[in-house]
Amino acid sequence: MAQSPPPRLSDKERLILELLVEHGDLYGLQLVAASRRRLKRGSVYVTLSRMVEKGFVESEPGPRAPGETGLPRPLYRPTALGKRVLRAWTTLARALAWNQETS
Amino acid sequence: MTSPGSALFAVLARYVDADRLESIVAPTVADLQYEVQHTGNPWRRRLALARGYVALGRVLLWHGLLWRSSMRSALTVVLLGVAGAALLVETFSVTTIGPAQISPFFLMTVLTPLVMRLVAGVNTRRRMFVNCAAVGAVMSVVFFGWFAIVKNPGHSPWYAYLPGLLFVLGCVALASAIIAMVTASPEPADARNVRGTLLDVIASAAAFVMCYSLIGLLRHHPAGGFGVLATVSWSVFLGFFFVLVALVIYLPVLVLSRRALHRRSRAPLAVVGAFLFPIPMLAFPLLQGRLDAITRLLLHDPVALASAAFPYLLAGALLGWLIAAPRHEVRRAVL
Repeated sequence: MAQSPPPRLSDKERLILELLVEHGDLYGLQLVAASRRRLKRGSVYVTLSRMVEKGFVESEPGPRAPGETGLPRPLYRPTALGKRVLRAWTTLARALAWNQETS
Repeated sequence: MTSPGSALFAVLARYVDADRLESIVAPTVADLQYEVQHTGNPWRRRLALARGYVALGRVLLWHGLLWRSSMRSALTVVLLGVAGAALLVETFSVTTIGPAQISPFFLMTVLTPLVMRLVAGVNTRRRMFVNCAAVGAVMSVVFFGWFAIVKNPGHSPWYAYLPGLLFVLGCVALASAIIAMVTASPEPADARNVRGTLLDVIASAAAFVMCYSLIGLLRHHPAGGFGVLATVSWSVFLGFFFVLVALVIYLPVLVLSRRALHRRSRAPLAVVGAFLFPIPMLAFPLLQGRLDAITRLLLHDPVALASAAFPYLLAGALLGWLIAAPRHEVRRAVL
């Protein structure tokens, strides 16, 4: 039986997963602020949308304060798959770094 | 009072597909509204508003959300119109030769139906007319604006340019109607399935323009940008006449010849095309009463004669060759 290829993780996707695992559920703007300019307001939702399609994160409308108007802001959290992919990626990165040091 | 960005969101909701609207545009607008609502200082509120709209602009333009939407046709019109106006500004800045100055209009006459068909899938006469007229209108308005504000400031009041603008818009409307009649086809229009006799004409006209430009540049060795631009402008101008003459006179002759000879007889049709197309070149000096002098001049300079006739011969031969080819081979040759 043909195996499906392992999920790919870009630098921005990895950064978002790390931030979500570290800080818990976050809004898009909070992700931008926590990333220290590595994520941009104009592109963070493009990356998040791709991650939702891949199943790495999920979103739900965030709680609203009384009297607040306008569109609801989505709150993002990592899925079990997203956490697993991040763990695997981190392990691989560490192993590669260890190999480089010992070789 | 409505929240900031909600009117823009309502407009975008009509054009951006639902998935991208929900996952990308809506959160960006929601952030804008949240920041504006939760900022007390009026200056900071304005800053938040500006940052929100910049982010939205980046999402729409940089990440191509609009380009993938049904607004593609409108964006194509604006891009073509502005590009054409920029060319007009350039030619009016560097030359005083009338035909060279207005050559961007001729270029767009050929380019617009092709781009609209390939990029935006325009395939009905009505849509083709509207889109071509819109490109010409954008070109005209931007160009007249530049002429009145930058080139000729304070010379005349703005309404002094209105008759000229209306005349140009009338010409644009007439040309668009002709283009729509000739180019629109109900067949599906994508890059793999583009058909139409016009493409044959345009392919040969493009060969003419390239050839004429190269020969002109090699023969005259222009010292600066003006020479290059003037040569290319003239080649586009003559290429436009090439298209007109081809459509009105020679195309029917070639198509009839195809039937009379044989559908796949490429060589005879290429020869017919090659001999037909230098003829309009003689019409210019004939109308100016200078045919005799120019003929004597060309006969004394065989290289000049050959280089003047070659682009016409090549383009005519190519047109004859393409007309003779089966349709799928024409598509492969053109695209």
